[in-house]
Amino acid sequence: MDWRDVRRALSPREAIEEDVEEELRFHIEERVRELVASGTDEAEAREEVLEKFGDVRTLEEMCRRLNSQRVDDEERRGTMEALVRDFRLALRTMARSSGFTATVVVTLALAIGATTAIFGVLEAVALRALPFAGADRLAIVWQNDRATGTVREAASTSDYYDYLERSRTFDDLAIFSTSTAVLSRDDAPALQLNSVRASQNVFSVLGVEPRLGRGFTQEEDLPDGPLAVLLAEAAWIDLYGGDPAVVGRTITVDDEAHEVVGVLPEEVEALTGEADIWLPIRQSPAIATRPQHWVRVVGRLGPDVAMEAAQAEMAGIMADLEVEFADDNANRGAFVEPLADVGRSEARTTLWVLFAAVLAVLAIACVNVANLLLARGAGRMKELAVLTAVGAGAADVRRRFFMEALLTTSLASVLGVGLAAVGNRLLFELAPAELQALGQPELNLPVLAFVLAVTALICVGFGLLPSLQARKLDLQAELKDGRTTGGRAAALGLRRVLVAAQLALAVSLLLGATLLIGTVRNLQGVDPGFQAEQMVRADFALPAGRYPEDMSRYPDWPEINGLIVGVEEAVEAVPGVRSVSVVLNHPLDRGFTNSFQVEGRAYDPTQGEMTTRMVTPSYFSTVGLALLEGRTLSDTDRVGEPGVIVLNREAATRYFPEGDAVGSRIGFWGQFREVVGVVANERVHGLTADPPPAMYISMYQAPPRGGRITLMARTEVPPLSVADGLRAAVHTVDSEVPVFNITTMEETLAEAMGRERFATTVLVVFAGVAVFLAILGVHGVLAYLVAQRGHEVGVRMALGATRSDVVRLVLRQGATMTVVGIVAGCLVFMAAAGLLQTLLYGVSVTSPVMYLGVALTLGVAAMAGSALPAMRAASIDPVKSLRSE
Amino acid sequence: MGIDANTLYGTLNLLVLRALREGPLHGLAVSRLIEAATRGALRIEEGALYPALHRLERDRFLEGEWGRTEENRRAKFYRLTRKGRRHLERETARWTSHVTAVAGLLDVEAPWSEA
Repeated sequence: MDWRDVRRALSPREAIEEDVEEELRFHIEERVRELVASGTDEAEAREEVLEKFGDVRTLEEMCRRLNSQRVDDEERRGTMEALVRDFRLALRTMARSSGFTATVVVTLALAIGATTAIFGVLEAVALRALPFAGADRLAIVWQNDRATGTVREAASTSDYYDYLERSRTFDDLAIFSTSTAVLSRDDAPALQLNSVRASQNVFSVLGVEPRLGRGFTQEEDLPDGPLAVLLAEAAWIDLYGGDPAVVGRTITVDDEAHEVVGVLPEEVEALTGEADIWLPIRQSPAIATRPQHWVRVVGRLGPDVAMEAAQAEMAGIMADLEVEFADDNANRGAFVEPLADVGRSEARTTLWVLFAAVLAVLAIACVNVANLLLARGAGRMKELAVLTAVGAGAADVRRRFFMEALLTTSLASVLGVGLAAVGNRLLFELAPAELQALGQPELNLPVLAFVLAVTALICVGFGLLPSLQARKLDLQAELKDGRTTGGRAAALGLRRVLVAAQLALAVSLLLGATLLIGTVRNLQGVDPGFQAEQMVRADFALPAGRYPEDMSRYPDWPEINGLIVGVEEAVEAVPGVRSVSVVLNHPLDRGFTNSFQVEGRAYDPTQGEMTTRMVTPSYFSTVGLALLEGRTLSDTDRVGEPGVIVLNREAATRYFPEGDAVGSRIGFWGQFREVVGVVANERVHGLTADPPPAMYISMYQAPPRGGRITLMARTEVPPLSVADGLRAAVHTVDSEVPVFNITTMEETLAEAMGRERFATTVLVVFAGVAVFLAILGVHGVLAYLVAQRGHEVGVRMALGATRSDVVRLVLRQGATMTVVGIVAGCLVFMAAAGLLQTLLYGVSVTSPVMYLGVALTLGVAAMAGSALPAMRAASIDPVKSLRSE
Repeated sequence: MGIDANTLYGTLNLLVLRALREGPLHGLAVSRLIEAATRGALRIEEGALYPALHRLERDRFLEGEWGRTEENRRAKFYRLTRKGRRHLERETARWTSHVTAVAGLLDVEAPWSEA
C-alpha cells in the first residue's frame, strides 16, 4: 500500500487531479523512453508520442470529470452502506441492552399512546370540520333573554319570518325543532323515534343532498300539505334493512300515513344530533306566532360575509322587533354562533385541558427517557472514545445515535398507536354523553400526522442529546482512566435541571387534579332539590293522533287525563314501587319557560319568563321536594276546579319580595291561577347554574300535549329491578305506548356532572403517572450520582465523615431539585390556571392550603425517592471503595 | 488502414475488459496488448483509452490502484471486478451473435469459424 492510496481513501476528491495527470504522464514518458531506447532523438520522440496520444488537455479534463462522478457515486454508496451498518449496529446495541431498550420503548409507547388517544378525542370533538360544504358560513341564530340571563334560546316562528324578510347577510335561513314521534308497525310493537321537524329549505342551507329519493317539496311544507317523511340513514338500515324500495312506501307516523320520500345521509346529524326521521315543519307566516319560542334557526351566510356582520345585523333586527312587539320580544336579543362551535365550546375547554395535561405527562416521560439516555451515554463514553480514536468522525457518531433514536421512537410510536386505538375507545366510553354526541374518535389522517410529528420531534431530541453529550468528550481523560470528566459533570447538571422541570410539571398536574377532585366533591355536595337515591325514571310517548288534542276544549282532554291517571295507578301497584308521578321534565331537565303576569300589576315585559313544570300532584312527595309555605298541588285540583300553581323559592322571592306570594294570582295560558304554595329550588339548569324562577302546574288541570312524557317512581328495592314491571304496567293501560330511556336518577345526576367527572378521572390518572415518573426521575439521578461519586464518598468517610453526613449530602442534592421543581410548578400553574377555570366549581385556584398540601405531598414523595440512594451511599465501605480505584 | 475503434460503439470498452481478463495492467500495457492482439488492425488514438478506463472504473467494472512496474516506476493498475467480468462475458456473447448474424447476411464466414 502506497501513501497515495491512503490519501485517495481519505480524501478522494483532492487526489483526482494529481492522479489523472500522473497516469497520463507515465504513459507518455514510457513511450518516449521506448523511442529514445530505439535511437530516436528525445525531442522528436516526444513530438511523435504526443501526436499519437491526442490532445492531453482535453483527455485530462474528460478523465477528471469521470473520476469525480465516480467519487460522488462512491460517497452515495458509502452513505447507504453506513446507514445499513448503523441500522444493524443499532439493533445489536438495543438487543444487548434489552432492559434499557424495553424501559425506554415502554415509557415512550405509553406516553405517546396516551397523548394520541387524547388528541384523537380532541380531534373528533373540537378540531374536525363539520361535514357540510362551506361549513364556515353556517351559523345558528339563537335568541337570548336579558331578563333571565339565558342565552341560546329558540326563536318564535314570527321572528323567523322577520329574519327571512329583513336579513341581508344570510343567503337563506331554515328552521328546525327536535322532538319524538311514534312509528306504528303492523308486525312489531310501536316504536318511539327521535324526530326532526324542519323547513324544506334546510337541506339546501346545509348543502346536503338526500342519499336516496328527494327532500321535501314546498307543498309538503305547507300546514295542510301532503304528509311526507324522510328517513335517516341509520334508521333506514336498522328498520328497513337499507332497502331502497322503502322510498315511495307509506308508513304510519303518529297515527297518520306518511309517504317516505327519501333517505338522508348521516351528515345531517351534525346539525341535529341523532335523529331517526325528518318531517316538514309545516309552518307559514299565516299561522306564525310570537310568544312561543320553539324553533332553532340555522342560516347560511352570503359569500364573504363575516360572522360579526351577521351578529350585528341580527342584533339590530331583534332590537327593532323589541320595539315593534314590546309584549313578546322585550329583552330578547340575537346571538349568532358559528355552527362549528355549537355545543362544543365547553367540551373544547375540557379537552384542551386534558390535552395540556397529557402533553405534560409526555414531557415528563421524555425527560425520564432523556435521563436514562444521559446516564447510559456517560457509561458509553469509553466506547465513543475508542470509536473516535480509530477515526470515526463526529458525523459517524451522530448518525449512530440517530439510528438508535429512530429505531427506539419508531417502535414506541407503533406500539403507542396501538395503545391509542384501545385508549381512544376507553376514553370515549368514559366520556359523558354530551361529549360522545360530538364525534367519534378515529385513527384518521390528522391523528396519524400528529403521531408522526410527535415521534419525529422526540426522535430528533433523543438523537441530538447523546451527540451533544459526546461533543464534550475529553478523549485522553476517557481513555486514561474513565473517571468523572467534563462531559459527565455537564450531563449531570443538565439532568438535575430536567428532573426539576419534571417535578414542576408533576406539581401542575397534581394541582389540577386536586382542584377537579374538589369540584366533583362540591358538585356531589350540591343539593339538586330532590333525593336521587332509590328513584327510577322512564320516558313514554303519547301518539299524538290517538289522544285527541282539541285545542277548543283544552284543558278538558279526558283521554290524555285518563291515560296519565291510569299509568300512575298501574305503576303504583308494581311491587317495590313506593310512589309515582308523571311529569313533563325530570328534575335535571331544563324544560321550557313561559311569560306570565301577576294579577293586579301592569304587565312587565322586562320581568323575563318562568320555567314551567308540568307535574302530577304526587311529584313533590315522590322526588322529595321540600314544601316551604302553603300547600302543594292536590289530587282535587282538577279540570273545572279553580286553577292553582306552586312557585319555587326563587320565583317567590324574585317576584314577591314582600313574602306575599301565597294567595296571589298569576296569569298565563289565558287564565289566572292562584299560588297555593312555595317549594324549595330545583337545579333544573344543572348543578352549577343558579336555579331559575319556576312554577309548578298540575297535569290534572293542564294536560300535556303529545310527545315525550316522563314517569318518576320512588322504589323500596333497587330502582332498575322494577324496570320490567314499569313497562308492563304502562302497557296494561295502553299497549301501544312505547316506554324507553329507563334509568335511575342517580345515573341522571352523575351524567349532570359527567364532564367534570370525566376530566377528573383522566386528570387523576395522569397526575398519578406524572408523580410516579417524576419520583423515578429524582431517584434515578441520585442513584447515578451515588454510583459516580462512590469514590468521593469513600474518601470522605475515610476522613471521618459519618454515615448520617453522607445521607444528608445525598438528601440535600435531592431536596434542591425538589424544592426548585415544586416552586416552579406552583408558579407555572398559577399562571395557567385560568385555562381550567370553567371546569371548576366552588374551589379556589389560589388556595394556599392546596398549594401547601400538594407541595408537601410531592416533597415527601421525592424525599422517599431520594432515601434509597442515600442509604446506598451510606452503606459504602470506604476501604473497598478506595481499594477499587 | 485499420478500423477506428471509436466508431464501433462499445468496442473499445469490450477490448479493454478483455485485455484485463488475464490480470491487472496499467493503461500503457492495455494499449500495447490491444495493439498486439488485433495485429494492428484496430488502431486507437492512445489517449482515448484513458476516458474509457475511467468510465469503466466509474461504472465499477474496473478498480484502479497505484502500484509499481517491473522497472519500479509508479503506475495506475486496473483490475477487473466481478461485475466487470460478468459484463465481459455477457457482452462477448452478444457481440458474437451480432457478428454471426451480420456475417451471415453479408455471406462471409465469421472469423472464428475457421479456427
